Amino acid sequence: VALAYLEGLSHSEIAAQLGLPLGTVKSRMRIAYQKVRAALEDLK
Amino acid sequence: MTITHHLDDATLMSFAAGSLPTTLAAVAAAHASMCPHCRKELSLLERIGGVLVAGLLPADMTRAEPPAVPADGPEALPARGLAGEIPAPLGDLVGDGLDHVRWRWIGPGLWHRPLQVRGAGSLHLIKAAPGASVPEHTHGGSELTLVLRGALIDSTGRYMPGDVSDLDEDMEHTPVADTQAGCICVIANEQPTRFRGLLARLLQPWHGL
Repeated sequence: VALAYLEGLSHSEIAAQLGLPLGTVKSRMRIAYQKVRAALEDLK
Repeated sequence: MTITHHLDDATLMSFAAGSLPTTLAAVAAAHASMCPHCRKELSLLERIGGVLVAGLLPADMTRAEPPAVPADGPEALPARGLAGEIPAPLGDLVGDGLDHVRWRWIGPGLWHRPLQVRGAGSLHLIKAAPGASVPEHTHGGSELTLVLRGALIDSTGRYMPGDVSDLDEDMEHTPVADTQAGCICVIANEQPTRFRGLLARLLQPWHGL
């Protein structure tokens, strides 16, 4: 998430930098967003 | 218009962060302009990004150079819109409407029109006759397909105007146009399509997909 938001890297660039498959990067982004969204729901 | 296929959460995050490649961003922007659900998600993701940036330590700017403007930044995307089937972010790219596109025949029941956008990847309009299919293929990276007219069917579902198919390199599919209405869609690819069939691969430099 930091690499996307703060470094401006695309999913493919993040995958290359971390040595991960593109699908794994996207999956981790999804999980991060779901956690943040759940946390925000708890605050409401 | 009822939209049932949306942008993937990971794509929305990258779009909100400004890190989605330009060609994919053009299709994401077009879908978001038609989809209240994705606009709402983007609004939340932009606020999350704001919180992340606000948490950065302040930098010493006293000797900083002016920031460089990226070659494929947001200015590469046109802003003019057209009424009807073409979402505003694609207005300047598509021109006078889907009925006035200068199509090029690329195979049985398939026509193609490349759209010029700066940045990595490719952006195409594809027209498929009723029942026509794109040969079985996978993708070298992310692929976004937005249906503009008719309908498109593959193993993941049926896509109507406004619906977006958001795929990555793991997905192999053979999209087929609706047998009554055919289909016109705009497709953004991060990398060239990987066709399984020898003929489609041999013709790839010519058809350009």
